Amino acid sequence: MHRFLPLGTVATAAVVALAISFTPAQPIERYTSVTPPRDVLLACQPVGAGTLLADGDGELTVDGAEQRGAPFSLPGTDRLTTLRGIAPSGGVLTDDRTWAPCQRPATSGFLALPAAADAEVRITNPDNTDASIDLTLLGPDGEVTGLGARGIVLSPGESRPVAVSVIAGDVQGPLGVAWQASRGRAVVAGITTGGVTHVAPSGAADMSHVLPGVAKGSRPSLVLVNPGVDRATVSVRFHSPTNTIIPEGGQEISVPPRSAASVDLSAGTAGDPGAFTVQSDLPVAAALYSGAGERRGVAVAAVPDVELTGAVPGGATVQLTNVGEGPADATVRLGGSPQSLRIEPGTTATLPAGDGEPVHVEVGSNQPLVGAAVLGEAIVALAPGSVAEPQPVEAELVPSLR
Amino acid sequence: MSEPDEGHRFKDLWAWADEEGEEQHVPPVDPAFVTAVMVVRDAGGWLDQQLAALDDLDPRPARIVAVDAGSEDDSPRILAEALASGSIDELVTVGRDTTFAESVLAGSGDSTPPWLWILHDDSAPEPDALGHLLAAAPSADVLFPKLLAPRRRNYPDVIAEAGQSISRTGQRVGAAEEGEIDQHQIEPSAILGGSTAGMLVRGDAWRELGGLAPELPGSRDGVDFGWRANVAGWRVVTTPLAALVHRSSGRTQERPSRVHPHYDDRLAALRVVGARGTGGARLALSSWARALGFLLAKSPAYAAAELRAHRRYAATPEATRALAARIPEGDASYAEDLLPERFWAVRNALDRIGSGIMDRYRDFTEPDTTLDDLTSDEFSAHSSTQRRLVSPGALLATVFLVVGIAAAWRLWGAGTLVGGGLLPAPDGVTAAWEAYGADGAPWLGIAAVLGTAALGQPLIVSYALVLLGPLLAALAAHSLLRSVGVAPWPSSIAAAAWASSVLVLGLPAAGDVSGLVLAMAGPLLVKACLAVATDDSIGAESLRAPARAAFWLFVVAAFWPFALLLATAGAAAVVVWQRARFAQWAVPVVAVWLLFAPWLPELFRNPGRWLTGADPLAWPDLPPSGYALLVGRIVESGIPVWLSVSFTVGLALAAAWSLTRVPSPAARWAVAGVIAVGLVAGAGASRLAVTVDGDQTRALVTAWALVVVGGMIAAVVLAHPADGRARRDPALLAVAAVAAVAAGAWPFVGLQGPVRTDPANLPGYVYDVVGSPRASRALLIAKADGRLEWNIVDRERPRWGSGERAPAGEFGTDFEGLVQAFSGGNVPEDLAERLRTLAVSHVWLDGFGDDEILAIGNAAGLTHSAASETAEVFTVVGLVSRANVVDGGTATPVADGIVPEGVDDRVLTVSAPRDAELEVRVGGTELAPAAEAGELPTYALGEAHGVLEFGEPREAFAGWWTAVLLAALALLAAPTMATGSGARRGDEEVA
Repeated sequence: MHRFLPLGTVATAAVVALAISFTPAQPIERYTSVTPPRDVLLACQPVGAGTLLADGDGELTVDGAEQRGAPFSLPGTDRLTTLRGIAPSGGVLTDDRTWAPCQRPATSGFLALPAAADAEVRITNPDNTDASIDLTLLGPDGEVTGLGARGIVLSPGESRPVAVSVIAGDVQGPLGVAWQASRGRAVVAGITTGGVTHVAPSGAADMSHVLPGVAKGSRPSLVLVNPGVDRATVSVRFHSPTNTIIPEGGQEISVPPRSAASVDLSAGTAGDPGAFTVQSDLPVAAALYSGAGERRGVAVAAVPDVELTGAVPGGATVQLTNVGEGPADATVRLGGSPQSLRIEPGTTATLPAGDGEPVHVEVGSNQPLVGAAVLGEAIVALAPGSVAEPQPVEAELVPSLR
Repeated sequence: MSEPDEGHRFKDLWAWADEEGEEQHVPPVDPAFVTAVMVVRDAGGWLDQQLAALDDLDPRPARIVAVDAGSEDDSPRILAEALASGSIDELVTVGRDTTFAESVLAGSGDSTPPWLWILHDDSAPEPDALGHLLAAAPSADVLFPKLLAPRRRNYPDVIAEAGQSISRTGQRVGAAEEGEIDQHQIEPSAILGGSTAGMLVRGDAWRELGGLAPELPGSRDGVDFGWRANVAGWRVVTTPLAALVHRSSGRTQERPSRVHPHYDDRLAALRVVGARGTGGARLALSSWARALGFLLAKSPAYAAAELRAHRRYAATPEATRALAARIPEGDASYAEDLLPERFWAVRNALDRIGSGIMDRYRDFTEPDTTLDDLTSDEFSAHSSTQRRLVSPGALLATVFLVVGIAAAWRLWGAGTLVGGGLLPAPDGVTAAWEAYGADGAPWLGIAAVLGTAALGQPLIVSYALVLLGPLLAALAAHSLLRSVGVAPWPSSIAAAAWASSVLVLGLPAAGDVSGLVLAMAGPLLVKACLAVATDDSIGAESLRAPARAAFWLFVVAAFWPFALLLATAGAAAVVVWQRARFAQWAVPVVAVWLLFAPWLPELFRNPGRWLTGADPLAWPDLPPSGYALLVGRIVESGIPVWLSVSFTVGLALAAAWSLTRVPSPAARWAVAGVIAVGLVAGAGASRLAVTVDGDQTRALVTAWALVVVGGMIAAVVLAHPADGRARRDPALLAVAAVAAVAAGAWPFVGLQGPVRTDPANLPGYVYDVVGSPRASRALLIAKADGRLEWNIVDRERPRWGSGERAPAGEFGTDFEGLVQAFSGGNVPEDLAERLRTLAVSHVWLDGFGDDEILAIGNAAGLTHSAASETAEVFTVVGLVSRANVVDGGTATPVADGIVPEGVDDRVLTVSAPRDAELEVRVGGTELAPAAEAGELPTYALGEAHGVLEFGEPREAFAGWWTAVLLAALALLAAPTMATGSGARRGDEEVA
């Protein structure tokens, strides 16, 4: 029997080991969970002296030095000004009511300009390193080649106008500009030569755009740019105060490849305020030009959100368009006490912003909205107000990754 | 009827061999012409035996003259009694300071006899010795008999000498190999000289040459005499049939002497060759080299005697000149032909090394000779071919070599071997040594040595470890088992099971470097420890086995430090409980503690490191197995479940069956204890999360698994029948079967784990920048299944050793923040600046969507380009360098590793944590920290300019300390210089 005692000991040890193996192992703290930074830089390049209207979540850093609580306004802004903070938005409103929206510096983008004949592109390098920009011009009949469109070098902080009307030569009609930074990044806007009648910010090519800011009584038109090599078919819907319609001229718009097209939609809106939705079968860039006279407001794609915010000029009219599926019960605060508003799906509501400099607009809703404040021809788009808390992703250090 | 005729026919053919030659008819010299002269000094301990041998002589010389050279012991009395009894015919007494040559001269009398036979007091002639000499004497003038070493019980006669020659630097060159067994195989031949013990000299020659040279202090005088005789034209030969048993009491220091015996021998040798033209410088170089050799052989007394002899030789040139004057006129070319060829010493040393290697190879490939082999008439009938074909050791090696090579197909491809716990090998030897210098972990030093030996390609070591690790483990286990007397076949089967366990545990497939090394070095450590336990030698020889044990313990502990704690406890237990010799058990443990001394602060700073293996932080976080641990599924290795289960269960059943049959209760309990401790400790260790340098990892469980497997195999081996036949042992057969299954499956399923040949993700230009003097870093982030994997690549990582500390380096926390920033797609505006601060020049992103890439691309100061279909490389605009010169608030990266000239208020910043201890040199001048510390380590640069060097202070002490200690261990482990006494005296046969 004693010969089996050692074996019994081993068996007992095996059972003990088995029992131990069922106990939970101590976890290894290998994964990191750090909140990502959320600050964003906006570069505000005015086209003349004006008032900078800025909004954001909390404090914004102006020109990398001065911190100000949002919203705020900076009268007399006549040079490049940067805003850094969480969800910043804003622009510079000149005395003649030309709105130059602040833009996030980028490495590429599109401009959709209404007329090649007087088109000018203003490129600004807001960073501390050199930037080099290449422009590709897309006219109604395809890509336009010309000297001076490529390798435009900007030193840190430099802003340079480029007369694309000269490069485009005798191109008639709208002009699309696709720009790409081969080094650094830039803020690019489209203006007009001579007296500036509008400031068109850069946008992205996408298959869907919501363009808010059609002022009452204005004559809206769309400029569409197809950067692809296939013909794009675009349809447009208009969100009026009462319903959504397909405006005249807004159906089955065919945009040739590598081309720009302009669509006059004034006949279809009947002077109603509202917003357009642009749907395309291929990515296109789109810009809304709205205005009754020579001076025009410009809007590019807005991001629908259940919260909207912005610092808008006093006296403006705020437009809110419900792009959701159901009725939107919105709470709107225009600098003062909140007011409730119901917006049917696909319709646009308007309300006066009141007085102030600036007026701080805060909108909350149960449906996604887009919005803009219209003052004369100026279209001041409202920014998405939802500041998403970044969700830390599980990240593991893998030493063999190389 | 034809057979007898056939036999007669062959007998006739060989009849000539039986015919006696004409020279056989030459009559031998009459012993009446021989006078024997025996010089005696302090020979009381063995003189009786010597006189008895003389009494037994047949034939006996006409006269035996004993010359007492001033003996101070019982020798005079014994000689007087011998004279009285007739054992000797005459007793001559001379002074104690009389040389051997003068003593012989005194004994030979005024008139030289026709034949003079010189005897030492410790050279007992065989009864027929003189007869054989006299038989050969008619055709020779100087005859040297064969000298045998003192006889030992149950041992054959060993030839001590059968004539000798001398190298040009004085090294003794025997006609017979040292230690050669006497089988009467030595043929008579011409010879340069030999020992004077038993030398028979024709009287005419003796007179003409003037006898022995008194300039030689009792050694090499026979060589000198023979050399002179050869030159003079006398015929000098060996007579191997004549034998004397030479006690060599002077060399073995049985005869008391004021000087070391080697002193006289070496001095004589120097004078012999010096008198014949060997230059002083050559002899000096030779003496110093030999002294070094004696030191390495742990004989400082010999080394000192060697140098003293040379000093004496150099100080007494007149003696050498006098000896040279004795050389007669004549043809020296004949004697020159009897000298060894040039570089004989080198060739002889190489022969010995080669012979040793071949002996070991034969020991490995050929089964032990059995009693049947020795006694059976069929011994010679067993063809050697058959023995080689079935050699278990060779079969074992072949199988695992083939298996290793066959498994390599999964690793075919460009790139480096990486995965699991295996980090990429350094790019070259320099990087391997830098890795050791940077961290100081002993295993990195071992890896650097291996990388250097592998043609300077550390990558070869990685491949060899993964592919040939099982083979080396098998050979190590086989060596252990054979050393403890396990028969070849059971040993090979058990070794195969051990190697198969390495495969089944998934050590190569998982990149378990420590497990692989333990599998290879563990059996050798056990073997060395068993040698310590069984070694009963004394003196320096007794430290050889402990030194070997220390070396293997060092190797094992370097890859699993906990082994040192276990060994220390085990050694203490053996010393205390078994009253074993303290020194023998203390040496291995103390030596390794000393070797670990430079690394101990690190170990005590990170206690968890004791429980882990090499590069502990290289392992990904794998949740430990539950009950699957018991079937050997410890690490993620891709080994199929069926293989793990079949091997483990098969081995466990065989071990259980065997455990009850182990004959020795102590062995039974010991094996059971090993298995039980391994099981419980391994299961416990698997639950632990240990902290190393701030990061967490798992304890090394595979070490305990190997302990369990070793215990199970030990049970099978110990229970194996003593007759060594495998077919009678079902347990052994079962083990062989599971081992065969595992080995057979290995090429197909073995390397499906994380270890793979992996090309680098980063484009070449990124590596060029990272490896340039800018020494920038690259951040890699891969996104898959909502998770991120990331790492930092710079010139120091990833490579062997970067898993010893936080793999992301000192900026680990900052990098974590960066990784999260990239993950959100909303990169911070100061991203480039942060990257620049951390000296990150490139960011590699894989698996990110287009939107995320666009968003990141919008960050300031970054450009990007595609690195592959799924990956993008972002480059920080401008030159990013780890070192920057700050001049008036403007930072200029040091792009080419050279700091330009500048004003005196400049500072230099290095991208490292503020508290980093760096050594920064510019133009060879070490920079002091700047008065105003910044966010990064800042140094006062001033006007200094030139080549920039920076990094953690390299501590060379650890490397040198380890090298010196290992050299000392090698010295202890090397064979000890035998004196010829001591060990054999106890076994000496009583005459």
